[in-house]
Amino acid sequence: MSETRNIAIHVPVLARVEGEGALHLDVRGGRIEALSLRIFEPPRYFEKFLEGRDTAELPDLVARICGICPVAYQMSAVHAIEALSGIDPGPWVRAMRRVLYCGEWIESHALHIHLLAAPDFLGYDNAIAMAAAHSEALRRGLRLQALGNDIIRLLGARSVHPVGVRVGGFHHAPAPDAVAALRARLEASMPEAEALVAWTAQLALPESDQDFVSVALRHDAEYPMNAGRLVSDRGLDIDAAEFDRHFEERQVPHSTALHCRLHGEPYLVGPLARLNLNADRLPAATRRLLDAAGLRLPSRNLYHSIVARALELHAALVEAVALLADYRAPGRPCTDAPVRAGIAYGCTEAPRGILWHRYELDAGGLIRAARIVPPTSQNQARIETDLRADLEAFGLDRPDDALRRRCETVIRNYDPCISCATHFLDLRVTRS
Amino acid sequence: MDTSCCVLGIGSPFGDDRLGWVAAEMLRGRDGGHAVRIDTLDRPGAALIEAWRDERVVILIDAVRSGAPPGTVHRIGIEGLTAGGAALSSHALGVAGAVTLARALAALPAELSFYGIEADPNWDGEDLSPPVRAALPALIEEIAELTRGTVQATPSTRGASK
Repeated sequence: MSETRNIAIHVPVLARVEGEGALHLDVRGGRIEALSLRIFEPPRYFEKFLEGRDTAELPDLVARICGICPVAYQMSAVHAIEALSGIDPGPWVRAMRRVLYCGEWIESHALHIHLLAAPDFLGYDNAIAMAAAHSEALRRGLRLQALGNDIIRLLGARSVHPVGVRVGGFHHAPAPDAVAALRARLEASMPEAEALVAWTAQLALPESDQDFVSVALRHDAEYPMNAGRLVSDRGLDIDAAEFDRHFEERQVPHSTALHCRLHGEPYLVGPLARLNLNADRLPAATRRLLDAAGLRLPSRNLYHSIVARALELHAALVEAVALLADYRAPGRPCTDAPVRAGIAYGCTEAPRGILWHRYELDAGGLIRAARIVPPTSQNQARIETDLRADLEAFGLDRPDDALRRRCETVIRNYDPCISCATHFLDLRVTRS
Repeated sequence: MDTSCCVLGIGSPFGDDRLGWVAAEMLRGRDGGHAVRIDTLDRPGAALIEAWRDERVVILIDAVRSGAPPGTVHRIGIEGLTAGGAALSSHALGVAGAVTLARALAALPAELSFYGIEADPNWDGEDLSPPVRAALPALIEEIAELTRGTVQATPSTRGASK
């Protein structure tokens, strides 16, 4: 150990399906000189691909952006188009969209909690290494993930890049017997979701106390998914259309993903931000689990994100069971949306946080321009701020391997799309 | 005793990666959906383990990229499907990663075999490339024979595909 030890940790990451990222950390004289979360995945030009396309094609096109949260992209897109069009697809569509979103939250959160985050907190390199000692926990994770996927299949025809969503509603309404069968399975899984909350609450999570801004949607009555105003714990309370007046995307040299700031500052989106702002909107059964877990809100410990995910998974299960009760297929599962020229805004809560869309449409219903601000790009600056604070609290005099593991844990805790890439880390440490 | 057999066609909507889906449809046509559960999956990752839960004999079909000539048929037994722990991630977990995780969880079926056809890396068509399509009938015949033998050896009590 030495106050003057100089460390340069470079974490290059393999190319992968959803993202390429790396971490560079330079420590000199016991202080962090430079720290950057590098995202060097080539731009995918999705926003440009959308130009000239008809809004009818939009749900299927944006679903292709992410294999884990395609529903979120579909939801932000259709809500934007419908808001401009001025239509209300009605209670059946609204309820089924929420069910669909519940499915995505369940599969995404189950996957992250069990296969990606848990090994960090239990001291394993990965889920395979963890399997012998925690087999039943991992099996539970896989069962819950499958359940979420089956909800998406019910309404979207398939669980990856589903195709059931259209502007104005759905292409197809599921048959009542299929709904009843799935609902019975959801109900039967409730004890597993309850056990999951307790399991995450007893994990030996690191202590952390950071001052950060939480941003999420907030709805009058519901835990936010598809609807609500954009709020923060510092007084922000705006419509999605006002996003640009408060949030600014900017290029940074070390990332191909734009950094987004709120009034010039980093902020948090995702499960813990949602929970900090919306705990009073959880279903009663989930609130009881929150109380039993002993999580005090608002939390300033980012590591509580895994507990927040488990609570949200439970809430999604409760909601899906309630929404699918007394199910009846409608006469027509959609409403026609008249074409209108103008600017369309949509913002919904992806599993990883708010996903904001903006489209300029012409009188023929074609997209002239598109902008998509995903949660991972919004969390980038927050992750860098967290890494600095967390590593200094952790102790920069720790061995390089311990620092590397801590960096990975911090990054993965946000469940960014690059989190899976950090499992591929090929660490190179140089000392100067 | 569980005597079930299932075929899981793994793929995605376009190009040679459709192979698993096309093969599953062809097998469904032959089987009539009576004796063997036939399902299609879209890049399931770890969800593969749940997809074969309670099955005794599992046959996976997927497109392969190994550098072999396009259209080459691959037959891989359970012992050949292994990935290191480094391959375990949410987005990139493939068949081998799922098998490795399943092995660690003692969640493998009694019999697992993998059939694949080498994809054409230069093909950008919406449907299967000519070499993959040409190799398909013989592969379907082989798998149909295998499932018939499995079902005859251990009469299934299961119903049609889910």
